[in-house]
Amino acid sequence: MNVLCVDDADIHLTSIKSMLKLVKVENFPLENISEAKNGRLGFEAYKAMAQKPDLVTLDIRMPDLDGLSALVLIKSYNPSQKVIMVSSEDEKSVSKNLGAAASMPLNEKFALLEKVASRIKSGVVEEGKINKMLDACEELGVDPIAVAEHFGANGYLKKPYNKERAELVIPQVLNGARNFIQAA
Amino acid sequence: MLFGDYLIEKNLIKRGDLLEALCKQLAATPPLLQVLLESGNFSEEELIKIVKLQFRERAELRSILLQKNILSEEEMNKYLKIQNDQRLPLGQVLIEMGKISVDDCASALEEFLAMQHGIKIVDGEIDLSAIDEEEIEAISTEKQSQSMAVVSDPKEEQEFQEYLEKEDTIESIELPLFSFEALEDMVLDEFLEVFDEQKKSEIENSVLEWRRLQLANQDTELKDSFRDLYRELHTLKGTVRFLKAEVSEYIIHNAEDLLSDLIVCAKQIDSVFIEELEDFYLHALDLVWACREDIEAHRSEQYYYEHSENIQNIKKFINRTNENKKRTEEMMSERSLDDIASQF
Repeated sequence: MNVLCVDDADIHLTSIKSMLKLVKVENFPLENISEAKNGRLGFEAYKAMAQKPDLVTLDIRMPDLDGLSALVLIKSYNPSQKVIMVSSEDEKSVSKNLGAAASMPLNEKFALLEKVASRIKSGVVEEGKINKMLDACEELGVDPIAVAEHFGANGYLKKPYNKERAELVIPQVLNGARNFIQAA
Repeated sequence: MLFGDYLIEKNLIKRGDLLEALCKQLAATPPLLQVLLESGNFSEEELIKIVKLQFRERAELRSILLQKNILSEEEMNKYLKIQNDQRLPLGQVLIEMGKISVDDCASALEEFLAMQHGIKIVDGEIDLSAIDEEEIEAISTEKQSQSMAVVSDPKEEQEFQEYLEKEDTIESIELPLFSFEALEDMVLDEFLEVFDEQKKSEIENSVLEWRRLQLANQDTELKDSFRDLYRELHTLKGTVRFLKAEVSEYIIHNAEDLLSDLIVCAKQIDSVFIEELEDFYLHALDLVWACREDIEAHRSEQYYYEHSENIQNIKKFINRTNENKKRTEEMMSERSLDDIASQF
């Protein structure tokens, strides 16, 4: 298996690499792990790869370009790319009661998120507007994991990395599970 | 100037120490009711009647005694003096609390008396030759009226009451039961390297920019600065979680959680609140840094956590987090759906 790991923290990159070396996936022996330090660099590295990786892991919170925005770019470039989101906590903490935002229907929130996603895909940055997916999640009080699923991510792994959890998620994603896979 | 203020001015104690000492001093002073009883001039039955009257009228004991002509002003002052004489000296309370050393307190008192009242201490005794009886009388009258003013000023009493209530709230905060598992050796050195003096000062510097950004109405920049700090804290939280440093994780989690709300309402933050936030985040950083120092020295957070003063500091921090959260929630509820949608 070839993996592209995108995370801004060295400590987390080291940790995911050690874990991937331990995880056994039938028909996908570990071959190569590449890395990038933020969403933008991750997407550029991805485009430059002659042979696309079997799996991309994207940290959700990163400087410059967050993981959700990078997901939108990668899935727009290659819809069949397998992507697992990773984060150091249950990002549901973002999705809490945000006063007025709490009363906005979910479909309206997703319509606004689609607006941001289409700006990201077309490379447009509008002054004074929200131009990143994670910023949009915060403003609307929506769960970034649910947003990742909506925008085509294949699974979610929670940090700190754990071999057992990874073995529940990674093989299913690589073997083409149709639903979003996350280990409790 | 009072002696307590002088000690603060000289950086010998903090304002919080003074408040704590004043509370202890007050708690150790016999109530006026007890002074009246011990004087032998009132029977228990009489005092019970007076207290009932006090409850019914919802008035202070002193006002009841004067208004109902139970005591004259002169008699009242006599009892207050008896009460005051039984009060522990502030310096003694501070020394017993371990907030100031005996030597520091003695030399500060000497300086204070010399500065304030021209009293000199010679060989540990007051230089009697330097005392002017009239001056002392004037000082004593002034002090007495000051202490009366302090006790009877309703605004100050209310503030004091609020202070006590706040102390109760802080006391009632329940911290999680930390298990203090052995720290993960694999990431310990990496943690110390990632969260070093330089990182700490970078974070401090970015927090110290907030006031300027708020003043200049640079909402977008303020929001970005909140986001940067959120990301720093988020990464740090991930690292301490790997490390199994639960106390640090708990502090960072609370600081991070508030920040996610602040990002949303950055535009609504006023100059008073931004000052509080700057101070709050610098304080949070100091708490995590104290844990880090303990981790570096003992490879555990347990030593840090065993000190009751540190536990109290964490509780105060949580109380402040809750108060700030309430404020941000109010601000968030003031946003309209149009405000939100217009950002998209």
